[in-house]
Amino acid sequence: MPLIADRDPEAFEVFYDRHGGAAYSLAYRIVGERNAAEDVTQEAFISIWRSGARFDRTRGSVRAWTLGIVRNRAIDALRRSAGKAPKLTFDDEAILEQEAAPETTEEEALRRRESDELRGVLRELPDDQSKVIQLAYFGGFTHSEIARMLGMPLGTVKGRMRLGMEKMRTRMAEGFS
Amino acid sequence: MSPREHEAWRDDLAAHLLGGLDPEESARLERHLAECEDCREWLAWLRPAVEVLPESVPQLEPPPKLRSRLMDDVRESAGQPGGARARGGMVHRWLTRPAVALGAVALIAAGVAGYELGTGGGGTATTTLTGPQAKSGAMASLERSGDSGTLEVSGLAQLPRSQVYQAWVQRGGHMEPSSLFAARSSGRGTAAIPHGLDGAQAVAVTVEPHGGSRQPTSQPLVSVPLTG
Repeated sequence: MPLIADRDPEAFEVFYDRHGGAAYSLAYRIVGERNAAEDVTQEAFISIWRSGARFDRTRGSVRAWTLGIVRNRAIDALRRSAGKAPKLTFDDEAILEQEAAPETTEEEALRRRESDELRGVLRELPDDQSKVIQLAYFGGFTHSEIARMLGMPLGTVKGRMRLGMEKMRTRMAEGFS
Repeated sequence: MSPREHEAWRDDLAAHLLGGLDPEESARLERHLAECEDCREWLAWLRPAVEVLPESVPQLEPPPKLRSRLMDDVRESAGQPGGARARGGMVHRWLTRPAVALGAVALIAAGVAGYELGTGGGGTATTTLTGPQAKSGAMASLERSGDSGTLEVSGLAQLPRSQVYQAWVQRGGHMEPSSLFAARSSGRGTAAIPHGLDGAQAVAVTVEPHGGSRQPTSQPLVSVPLTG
């Protein structure tokens, strides 16, 4: 990050090569369309180029910070798409069948394996917990919007979010395999 | 504060990390966090579960034109040849794409207002420190910003469920416990060091029983000496 803060384009290129694939994948998952995912990714990386030095180390890793920016931009783009119906289901397997990245390098193969592993952890959660987590994180809905959509009390939605996240965190501490 | 009140805040904390709170609720929670160390610690514990969510999506290949478009704009912004203007107005074409126009206008406004470069948001520089490679092949590096940092370790073995990796801050001959973390299938692991780096000599990693330890129960696998 210091080199990016020094406005070094070569350092930024390395930074994009390291995180661009994950960023584009996340943007696509949220906005569900190639052109919009490209725009979101470009917008997010340009904002990082402009303000990379504002990275706050206390809030996590560079990658988590980067993907957080991409997530927020993608949710904004989703909300700007007038008349779009709320996305209530997320079919990862369909995305993989249609769009999966070729594993041309060892790094891509590792990235794919890690994401498969993490999706496995999410799948292990009870459906009611997984659904509220995905609606909040990938759908950009607040807990009160989710409660209205699913016809549940607010407390139930928040409780399910917490239970699901605690289970994921515990699985992480145990190791995924 | 009663245990029941803490439980209610923890429900809010999980929703907050997922971006699921309304702005007023988030502001109320931030005020509580400023006063409650227990909740801050619980938030730091839970945060990695949210940070892996974006990594769980199907991994796709970004189109090559995205990279070239981005780097054109970056080089132009840095005043290097080969930027967008030299290639016939790619910035203009990018600005005319409706999904990005709004954000671009905001960025240009930010550019006019001036950049905050070279330091973190609180005015603290970020530095990367790397430790020597261990006999096991493990290597660690620490991105430090003031009193906190993020430890990235590679070459880690998968541990049985009864064990976990733990980060430690070494200070004056004592080891202070920090975050627990697991190795991903790639052999890489990440641990937040939320505080305690000021005045410390090194950050180290050990293998500990599930749940972590108050004192190390094994020799450090890797360590990163701190300078300054």
